[in-house]
Amino acid sequence: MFTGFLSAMLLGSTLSYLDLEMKTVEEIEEEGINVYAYYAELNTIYNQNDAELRYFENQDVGTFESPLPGNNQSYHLFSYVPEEYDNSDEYYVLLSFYINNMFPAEESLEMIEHLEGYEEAAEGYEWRVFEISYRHYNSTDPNVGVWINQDDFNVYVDEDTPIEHDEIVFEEWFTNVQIYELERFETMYAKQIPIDAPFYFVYQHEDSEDSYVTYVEDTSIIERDQ
Amino acid sequence: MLKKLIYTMITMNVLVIGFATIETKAMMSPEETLKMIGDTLERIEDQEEQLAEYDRVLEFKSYDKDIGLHVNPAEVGQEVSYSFNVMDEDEKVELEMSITADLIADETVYEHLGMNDLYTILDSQNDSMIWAIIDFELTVEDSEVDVSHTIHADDFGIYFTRMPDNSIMGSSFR
Repeated sequence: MFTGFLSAMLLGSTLSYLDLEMKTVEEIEEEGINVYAYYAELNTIYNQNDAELRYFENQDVGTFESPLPGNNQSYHLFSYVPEEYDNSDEYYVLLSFYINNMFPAEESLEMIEHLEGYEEAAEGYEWRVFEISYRHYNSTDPNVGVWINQDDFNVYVDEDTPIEHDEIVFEEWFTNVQIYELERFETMYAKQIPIDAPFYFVYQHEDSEDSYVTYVEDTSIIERDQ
Repeated sequence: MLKKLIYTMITMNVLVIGFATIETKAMMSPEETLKMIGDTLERIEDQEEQLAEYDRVLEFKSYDKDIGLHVNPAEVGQEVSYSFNVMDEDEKVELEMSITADLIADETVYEHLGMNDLYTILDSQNDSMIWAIIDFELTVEDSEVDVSHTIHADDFGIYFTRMPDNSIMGSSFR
C-alpha cells in the first residue's frame, strides 16, 4: 500500500537541499501535516523545474537570428534591477508567455476604434487585437512582483524596424499589471501588424536588456478562432 | 466572444500550462496521495539530474516555510518576520510582528469618507470594488534592536488575489 511512499522516503534523503523533509506516516499524523498541501508544494517545484528545463533546452531560440515560432509557448529568463534593489543586486525572473489568439482585422477594429489612443493604422498596416497569457514561474525574490506592460510587447517588421503607435487604453481589462511568483494572467493588447506579411512579436521588460523574439510567418498560426 | 475566451482559458490551463490538475488530485485518498508524492519526487529527482548540466541562477523555495509572501500570505494575527533598512544604514533590521485588521465595509464607510476631501467615487468599470475602512493593529514583538520605524498609511496596499467570476479578463489568480 505504501510502496510509493517508501520510494518517496528513499528519494527524500537525496532531496534534503530542497528544504523539503519527507515525513513518516506517524509524523504526518502527529504533526497534523496536510498531505494534499504537501503534494501541492511538490507540484509547484515540479512545474518550476519543468519551466526552467524548457528554458535551458530552448536557449538557442528567442532571438532575431533564431526566433521562436509565434504559435509556441516561450520560456524567458531575464534579469534587471528592480526599484526595490540597489544597483549592485541583480534580479532574475522566469516568465512564460503565449499568444492564445489574434482576432481578425475587422473584429479587432470593432473592439478598439472607440477607445482612447486609437488612430487609423499607417498605410500597409492593420490593427489586430492579441489575446496573451503569461505566467510567472520563479524569481530571485518572491516578494518582488514583475510589472508587465502592454508597451513591453512590440511588433517588428525586421530587427531594426519596430512598428510604433500609441497605446490603446482598454476599459474592460487591465493591460499593465504586476504579477508575483506562481501567478498567471491573461489580457488583450492591440498592435499594428503589416498586412499579409510576416512579422516579429517581441517581448522586452522595460528595465531589462534581454528580449525574447517570436516570429509569425503566417498569421493563420495564431488566428485560433477561425 | 465571451464563450470563446472562456474556452481558450480552460484549454490553456489543462493543455498548455497543466497547473490546474492539482485541485482534482486533491480528491484522492491520503494513501493515493502519498503514492503520488513518491512519484512526483522521482520526477523531481529526474529533473534535478537534467538541470545539473546547466548554470542555474534561480533557487528552490519552500513556500510553506516562508510565511508572509505574496504566494504564501500570513493569517490575520499570525506573527511574521519583517526586515527593513534603517535610514542611512546598510544593514537590515529584522522585526517580528503581527497584524490584525478590522474591516468596515457597511454604509457607514461612506458617511466617514464623504467628509474627506480626498474621497472620490470609484470608476464605474470597477464595479467589483468598494470602499472600506481597515482598522489595522500592529504588534511588534520585543526586540533587542533599538530603532524606531515609522509606519505610513501608504505602506499598506490591497491586492486582489481573485477577481469575481464575471471578470474573465484582467484577473490575476493562481
